[in-house]
Amino acid sequence: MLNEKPFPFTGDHPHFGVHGWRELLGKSENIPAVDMARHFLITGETGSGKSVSAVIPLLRAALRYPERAAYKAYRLRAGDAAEGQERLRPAVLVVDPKQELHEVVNREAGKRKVTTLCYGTPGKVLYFFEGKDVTKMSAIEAVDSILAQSDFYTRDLATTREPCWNIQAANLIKDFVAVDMYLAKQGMDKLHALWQKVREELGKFEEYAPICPMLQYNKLNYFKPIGVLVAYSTSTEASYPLGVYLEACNAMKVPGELTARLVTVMSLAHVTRSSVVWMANGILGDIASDEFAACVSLNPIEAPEDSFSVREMLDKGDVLVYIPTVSPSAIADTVGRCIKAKFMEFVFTRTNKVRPFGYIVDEAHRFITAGESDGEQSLLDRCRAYRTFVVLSTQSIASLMVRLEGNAILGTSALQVMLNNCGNALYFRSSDIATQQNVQARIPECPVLGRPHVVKVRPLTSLGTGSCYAMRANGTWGLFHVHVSS
Amino acid sequence: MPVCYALIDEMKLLHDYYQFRTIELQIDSPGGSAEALHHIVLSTREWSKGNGRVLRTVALNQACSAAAILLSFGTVGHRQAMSSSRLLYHAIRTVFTQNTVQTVAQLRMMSRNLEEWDGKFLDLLSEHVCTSEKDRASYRRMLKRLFQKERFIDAEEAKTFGLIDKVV
Repeated sequence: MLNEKPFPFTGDHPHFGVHGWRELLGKSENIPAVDMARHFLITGETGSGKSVSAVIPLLRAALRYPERAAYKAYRLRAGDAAEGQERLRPAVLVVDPKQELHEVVNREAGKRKVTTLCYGTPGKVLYFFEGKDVTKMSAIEAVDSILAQSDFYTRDLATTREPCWNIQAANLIKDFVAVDMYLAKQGMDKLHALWQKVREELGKFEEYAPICPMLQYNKLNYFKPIGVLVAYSTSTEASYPLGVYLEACNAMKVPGELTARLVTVMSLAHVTRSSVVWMANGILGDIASDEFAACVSLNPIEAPEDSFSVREMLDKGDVLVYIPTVSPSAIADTVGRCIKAKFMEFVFTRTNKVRPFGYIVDEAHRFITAGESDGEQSLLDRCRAYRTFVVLSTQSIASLMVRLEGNAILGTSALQVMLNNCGNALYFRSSDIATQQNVQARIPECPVLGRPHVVKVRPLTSLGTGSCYAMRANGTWGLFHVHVSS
Repeated sequence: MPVCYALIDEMKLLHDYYQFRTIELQIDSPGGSAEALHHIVLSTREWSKGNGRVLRTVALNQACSAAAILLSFGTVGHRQAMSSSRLLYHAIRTVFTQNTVQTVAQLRMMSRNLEEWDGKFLDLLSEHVCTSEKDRASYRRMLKRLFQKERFIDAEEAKTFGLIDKVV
């Protein structure tokens, strides 16, 4: 799927001006575009000044790029080959859990369109299957790509001793989607009729009466009826809801191969079936919730009307701000990862190859992934060639480990790859041992034999607010005080 | 001289590798050679000028002759002495070994040399302490008088001369 040829920054490109980093960058206060594309890792505990003195200046630099003076100098250097100033303005994706960055974005964005996606608030949604041909997509492909973002599924699959339940649960969901997609291809009225039939049949039983209104095709929250149906499929006497659904499928002439597995689940012993259904419940709890549907549309059958186009954003240089909940929430984090995955998918295949893309994320440990295609460890390396710069701000390396160790296969090594790919790193005050070891490994030994390493003499715990160990992509390192703006 | 090289190397290491911006130099010394002092003063100018760095000098028990002058070459505002410490400032002097035979010409040459060295330090010190050209000349004259008397002074008195900034 990759484009045939990368289009990296060259040494000629105008530099990023980061104001307030005089001590770190010298008098000119700028970072060459090539170095900026080597990404930033910013760690530090709460109150160490990492947001105010590092993330916000970098965000401001990304939004102001290219500045007038720098661009003029670039025009002189490049001559006729120079790229247009407006075309060089980066598209920016900002993840802002602490709600500190969106004000800066609104102030600095200028003419560009700013879309704010606020968790749990209805508004424009992200269409998860944008750019894919829905008619040609298979149910397995669709559900797999959805489940790859689900924290509940991926982490549990990696850590559990009996992954068969998770796989069974995923298959269960795949079958429901496959049936719906089959019927949708025959005509949407057939799909509506299926759910109508299920609703009518279940309406006859008093215990299912309250859930009946929810059992209908829902364009905005596609997985909701499936979630409701699955939740009621554990009853002892007979699995009525599932049975009714299968009968309805038969009546709609759905091919048997699509429903075969559902029949198998029904024939399982009660205890076994409970395990599968409870696992599916967990997965659907994430993706079928209303909060999730308010931000991301997972409908594999038709696109929502009120969605924003990620591809267009990347082409026009717009800004997207995602504001999750202040307190960590699994669903909010899943939404964040969905947005990231979508952007990263289009970054490599976009048509506008001049425009850079910036991904600035605060509290990165909540949104980081180690997947094979969209995990940070593979992205950070690849994106350098595609004019993409990433700013990861996190509490400590231990908190990144917590997020990634669930993925037992890639976990720790993925983290190492990520750290190695962040050519620029700022370490603020932290009492985390993993961070300390990382700094010690990256800063060279003392030039005098037998003298202790600088990190032993001046540990990260001894740094004041705004002071940090900084390592730059050009090989310089040092202990700096970066400006804390009021 | 080896000691002065070690001192300069240490200060370089502390700044360049360990990235300390403030270094405290504790002085308790009966004195030393003028050449070594001159070398230290010239190589630590970055420190004594105080652009981003601070060299804090503290006299503990005694700081005499070369050590006293080194004390005064700390960053202005950060030169300290203990209240009990004894400081001795004097003009430059030389030791004759016994049974040396010198001609008048040789002695004249030697006195010229000594005066030159003396002038060097007075210039450097007055330049270091006084910001304006105007003060410099009068301060230099005052220092010259003090140096010629060659007597021990205490921290308080040194503070009135502007040779240290703080008594601790």
